Order: sequence, then structure tokens, then C-alpha cells
Amino acid sequence: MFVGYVSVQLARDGKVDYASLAYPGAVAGIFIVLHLVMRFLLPMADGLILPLAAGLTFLGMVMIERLDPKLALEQLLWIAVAAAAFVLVVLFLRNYEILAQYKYTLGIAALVLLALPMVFGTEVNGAKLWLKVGPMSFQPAELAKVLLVIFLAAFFAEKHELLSISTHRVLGIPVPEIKYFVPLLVMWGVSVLMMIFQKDLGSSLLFFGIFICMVYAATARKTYVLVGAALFLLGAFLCYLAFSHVQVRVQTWLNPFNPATIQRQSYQISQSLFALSSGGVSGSGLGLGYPKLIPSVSTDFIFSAVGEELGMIGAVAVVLMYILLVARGIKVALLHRDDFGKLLAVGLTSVIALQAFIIMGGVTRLIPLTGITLPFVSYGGSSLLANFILLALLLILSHRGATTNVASIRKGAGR
Amino acid sequence: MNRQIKVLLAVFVICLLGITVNLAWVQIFGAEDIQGNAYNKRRLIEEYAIQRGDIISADGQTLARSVDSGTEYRWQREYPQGALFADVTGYDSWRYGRSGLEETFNDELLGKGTNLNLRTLGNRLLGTSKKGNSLKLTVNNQLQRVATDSLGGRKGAVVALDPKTGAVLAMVTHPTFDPNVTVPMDGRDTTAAWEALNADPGRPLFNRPTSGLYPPGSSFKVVVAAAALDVGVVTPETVFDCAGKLVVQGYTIYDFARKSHGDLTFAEALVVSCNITFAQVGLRLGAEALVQYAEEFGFNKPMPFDLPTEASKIQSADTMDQVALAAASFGQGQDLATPLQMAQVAAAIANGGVLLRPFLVDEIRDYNNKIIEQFGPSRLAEVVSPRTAETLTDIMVDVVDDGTGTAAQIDGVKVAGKTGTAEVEGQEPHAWFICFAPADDPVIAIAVIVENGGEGGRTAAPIARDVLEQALE
Repeated sequence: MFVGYVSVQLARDGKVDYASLAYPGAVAGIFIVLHLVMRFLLPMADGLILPLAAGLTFLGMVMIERLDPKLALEQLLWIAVAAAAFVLVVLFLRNYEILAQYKYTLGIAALVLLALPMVFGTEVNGAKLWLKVGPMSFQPAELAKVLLVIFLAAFFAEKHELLSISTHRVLGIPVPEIKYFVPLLVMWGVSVLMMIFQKDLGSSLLFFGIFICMVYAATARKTYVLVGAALFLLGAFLCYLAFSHVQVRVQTWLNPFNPATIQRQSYQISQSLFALSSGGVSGSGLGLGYPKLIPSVSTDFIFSAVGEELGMIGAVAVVLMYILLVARGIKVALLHRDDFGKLLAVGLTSVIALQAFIIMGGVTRLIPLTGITLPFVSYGGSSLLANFILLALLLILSHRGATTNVASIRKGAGR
Repeated sequence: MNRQIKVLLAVFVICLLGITVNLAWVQIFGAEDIQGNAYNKRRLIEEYAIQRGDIISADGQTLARSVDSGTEYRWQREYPQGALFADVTGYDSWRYGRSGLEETFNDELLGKGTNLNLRTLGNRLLGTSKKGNSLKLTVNNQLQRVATDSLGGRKGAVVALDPKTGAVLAMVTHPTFDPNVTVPMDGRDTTAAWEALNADPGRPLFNRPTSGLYPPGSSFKVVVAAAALDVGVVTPETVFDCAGKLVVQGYTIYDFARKSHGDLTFAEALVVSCNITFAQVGLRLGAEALVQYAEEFGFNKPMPFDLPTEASKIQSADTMDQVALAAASFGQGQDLATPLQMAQVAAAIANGGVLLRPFLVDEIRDYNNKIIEQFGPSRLAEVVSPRTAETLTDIMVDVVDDGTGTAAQIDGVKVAGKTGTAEVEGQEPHAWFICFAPADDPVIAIAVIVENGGEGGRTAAPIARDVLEQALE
């Protein structure tokens, strides 16, 4: 990270300002503290998860310094706040099981957080996601996703056996009773509402994706997955027919270089592709490309900046870090013994996996572009806060899963 | 539950690996396609991050330079001489592209020259490749100015060459344009001016010297005379009969103003520009020899040059019947020539029959002003023997001394020239004059055309004289 900082400064000014190396120093210090907290309070936790998150955060810090030095200080402060939240979670939620007792409270809180911007929100970049409180703006959906995962983990841990029972057969496929589709429909409704009222396709896809992952992990019912996917596609299709902003997303995905839209609707995606293509294998070098041509490059499009300046080597390294992080998260889930912990770990890991996939796939035009942040890397306080809390929970689960005296809430639960 | 979790892991890994596969496409295999998109500003920004080299006239005037615009396209062009050298330098504009030397020498001006020698390699390693190379031209600011003033707003072109090297000393076209119009800057919207240039029926963006195709009229008689003398079908003393008209295959050809010259020698026929004599000379010479010589002079293929050129045209020998041959022999057939081509004809005679490649760029210098490439004479063809050239020169001197070209006379200097008055259907004829001087040791060869300017001797020759005077000073 220090090397990255120095190289950014060399490219920009041709000299190094040693005082500004305080930023990377501070971030490194924060992670050393977090590491020590983890060693003392969660000694059995997975040793790779925190370094991977640190690596991604470092990379984000370097890229933000390169893209907009003013944002780097804010990012640093947010990292500090998020780290504090991490420590608090580790201190007070080591008995994560208590979360299960408040599952409905948390679920309702998640819905309230989601609903807040619909009512009080301000619209930024065509999506209503932000709550403005004085000079601060906050994206409640980021925190909501963590709360939702906790709720779903607790709910499925309690109900997954019920949900797995098939009483009907449709076309030879075992199908659970209709009433057990209710949670699915509720979730679907929430996603569609988000798509309609917040114009936030990214979060909508993410929330529904998390739900599908967890319901599949909990029940092993492909029916839910299939019905869920079908419902989502149906909802997406109806929205496509009904709302121009959805149509624009799809059309710019199919044809980003259409001269009619390239200066307007498909400007972002085409600029992102130009940036990536100019990076080639090894990239232009930090500070030597032109990633600032891409709108919102320090948030949603930070991956394109990595691809331009660090090339495919850098971009693939980022993808591999996410794969490793996801693999370690899944390992936490596999090693855990109680259902709630298992599902919680799966849910938290799914958040990272899906979010990384949706935005990296979006900016590289693998899937239609939807604006969400790249976990740990993108600039943004709410995103950092939520992801650090998520990280803390995952490490607690890891520690507890590896500790032999796990108190299993439901002994002999089907595994 | 663990089985499902493993399935989920597999799905996640496949999805994320899908991104790397897609990256390989976007960043490597499909990258060139994406980058080539016209809306990709990166290419432009990178090009305009380079301080493009200056373009400088032979006498040290700056014709084009780069100024720091402070915008995302950093180094923008400025043309201090305005319209004067527009047909030479062309323009370099991030919005409208390039023309002229800015286009043909783009790589050199950007410092991307292909010859990687020790110095350019050194420059590259030292990171100074952000500065391009400058071009020192052969054109002379004073001469260009005189030629422009003398043409004086009439439609036409002037090309002046150094016959011993092929260096272009002046190249003027009118109407022309101010290349600064192509460079939009903050607070200077030039869109309307640019659109007006493109819509102008006078075609100011059109480079007449290199691409304007005109019937050469009697100036083409120099080509015919050179061929006839070189082949030996005539000598200066060969006597012809001009009855004012000639019947070829039942088709009557009249002389200019239906005038009869009576009996006259071949030399006298060139001096008074007798069409009837030249029709007979052409018939004696034959289509094949005429076309062959014209092609040696450069017809029927684009003249090799530092700028794009249009090929001057002469009908092919096998489609040329006797009538066409007779008409072509006094420059009123289907033949068409660029001003550059006719200047080359004069220059070849001036240079003892040897045609040289014309050139505009004399030297390429790096940002330290060190010469990294130099250009000099390069032979294209030996069109006629030195003897033929000498004989023809003597006759062309007579043209100026006491023929149709007296308007080009200069005290104490022997000027060799030939007028041309090219008939244009329903309009005033184009006025031509080609010449070189001093006749015994030429330093300049000129072609002048004034569109619909009337008689060449009256309209074009005085312009040539002004340019000669300036050059011989």
C-alpha cells in the first residue's frame, strides 16, 4: 500500500510528500489494531479473512487517493469509524446467538431502513438511496442488508425443516405447501418495490440474490430457487416494460456503443469499457491512465480504474481476492455446527460474493450495469461501515465455529 | 446443509471466474476494437498530452506551434500565419481531425517516428517522448507572401520549386482558410465558421496546387515539344505551315482566334503558341510516344509528395484517335494537370531533363533542435536528354523575350516560360504560366494558374514575374 501511495504521488507530482504517507500509515495502524483485537478476543478465528479484507481496503485507499485525494481523507475517517464498529461488534456480540432472539425486530428494522429513503430520501444519480442528515449522507440499504441476513438466518434456522417438507407434487416435482412460499413472496415484493420506488436495481438484485442463496442453503429445495428466479425475472420483465430506467439499463448493456446513447445513457458503461480496454495486460501504471473520464469512478466504477491502471493482472488479482474471501467465508459456514451460525455465515458471505459479482460484472458488461459498491474497495462510508460489521460477525462465527464448546441451539438439526 | 453450501461456493466461484474471462475479452482480445471507437476520448487525450512539434518555414517563421490550452486536450495547435500556409501545414484539430503536413507527418510531429536510432531511443528512455519533433520546411515565408499577394484574391494556385533539388519554395492556393478555425477553445466556438468553410462553393478547404485538375492548355506544349525534340521528329528549325485550321479525319481544328500563322519553324510555333503546328507535331510524334513522355513527366499517377496528390491525367494511347491526339497536343484534349504537375514539367526542363521528387519537409528535428532526419533531392525520372532540355530552354526564353510571355520579363535575367490559355466551356479560359529562371542556371521553377483568368500571358505571367523577382533578389 505504501508502494502504491508513493507511485501515485510520483505519477502526479513527480515527487513524494512524506507527510501524506500518514494516510496509509493510519490505515495500516487501524488494521494492526483490528488484528490484535481479533487475536485476543477471537483467537480461533480464520487467519486469512481479515488480511484479505485489509488488502482490498488498502487497494481502495490507494485508488481513491489517486482518483480524488480529497475523498481519501474522508475514506480514512470512515475506515476508522467502521473499525470502531468492528471492535464494538466483537466486544458485544461474541454471543451472536442473542441476535436470533431479536430476529423479527431486526427484520422490521431492515425493512424500515429500506423504506426510509423512499419516504425521506434524496435522489442521487437517478436512484433514491440516500438519507441526508445535515452534511452527512447515509445509505440505509447498506446496513439493512446485514440486518436482513441476520433475520433470514434466524428465520430459516427455525423454520427450514417446515419449509423443506413437500406435500404436493406438480409435474412430478415435490412442491411445499403454498403457505411456505409466503416469505419468498414477501421478499420478492420488497425487491420489486425497491426497483420501482428507489430505482435501485443493484440493491434489488442483491437482496433477492441473498434471499435465494439462503433459502437454498436452508432447505435444499431447488423449487424455491427456480420459483424465485422465475418470479424475479418476471418482476424484472414487468419493470422493463413499465419503467424507462430499466429499459435504459438493458439497452445500454446490449449496445453500449450506440452513437445515439453513448454521450448520455450509455456514457458510463462505454467509458468504463474504454478504460478497461486501454489497460491491457499490465495497465497504464498508477496515476498514468485517465480513469477520471468515468463518472462515479471512486464508488461504483472503482474496479474499472483498477483495470485501467493496473491492467488485467491487477483486476484479476482483485477477483481472486474476492474468491479467496468467499471461500474462507464458506469454510466458516461449513465448519460451524449450529444452523443459525451456518446460515448467518452463508448469508454474510453471499453478500460479499453477490455484491462483488454484480458490480464487477456490471462495469465489465458481463451483466447489465446496476450501481452498487465494491465491498471494501469503493469510496463510501455506509458501505465501509456495513462491510466491517459484516466482517466482524463473520470472524466471530469463525472463532465460535472453531471453538469446540459451541452451544448448539438446536441439537441434531439436520445436517 | 453442507452440500448446498458447497454448491453455493461453486456457483460463486464460477460467477467470479466468469468476470476474469470477460476481462480477458475486454482488456486483451477485444480491446483494440473497443479502443478504436470514435467516442473513446483516451486516444485523443493521450495524443494531445504530447507537445506536438512546431512547423517552421525555411526562413525561420513559425507556421504552427502548440500552446497549453489547460483543457483535457492539453496541447492545442495555433497557426500564427493564419491562412497563409493553410494548404501546406493543413490543420490539427481534436474535433475535425487533420489535413496537410499535420496529417502526413503526424507520427513525426508526435515524436512517434519509426526510425528508432540511439538519440530517439535515449529521448524515449528519458521520458521526453512527451515532446514531439518539429518540421523545418522548404517553403519560404517571403515568397509565399509575395505569391499570395500577387494572386491577389483571384481563384487559382501558385507552385514554386527549386528545380535542382525538388524543394517546394512556395505553394499558394486561393480561396483558402484560416486553420485556427479548426481548433475550438474555451470561449471560442468555431463550429459556425467551420461549417461555413465546408459549405463555401469556392471550396477553401480544397488544395488546388496538389489536387486541382485543370486542362493545361498551351502550357502542355512544353511536354509535347520536349517529346518531339527528344524523339527527333522535329528540330527547332523544322518548318510547318499554319493555315489557321487543320482538318483531321474530317474534323476541322482552328487555331486560337482562328488566326493563321503562315509558314513558321517549330521554335517560332512554340513562341507564338501555334495550335495548328502542335497538332501536326503531335500527329508526327504519335499517341504512344506522347503518352509515354507525359507519363515520364508524372502524368497518370499521383505525384509522389509530402502531401496527398491527385494524379494528372492523359488519355491512354490506345483510346486516343487522331483527332484526340491533335487536340491533346495543344493541351485541349482530355488531359488534365495539377499546378504541381505543371511546375514539375518546368522544373524538369530547368534541371536538364531530370525530374526530381518534390518535397516540403527539409528537416525533422527533435525537441532539442537536433536534426534527426534530413531530406534532399531524390530522382524520379530522366525524362529527356540534357540536350533536349537545353534546346527547349532556349525556345522558352524566346517565348518570354518576344512571344506570348513577355509579361514575365525581368531586367538582366533570362526567363524561360510558356503561357497557357485553357478553354473552358461557356466561361473565361483558365490562365496558365509555367517558367523558370535564370535560364542558364535555374534557381526557381514556377507554375501559375488563375481560374477563368483569361489569357495566360496577360493574367498568369505577371504573377510568375513577381514571384521570380522576389526569389532572385
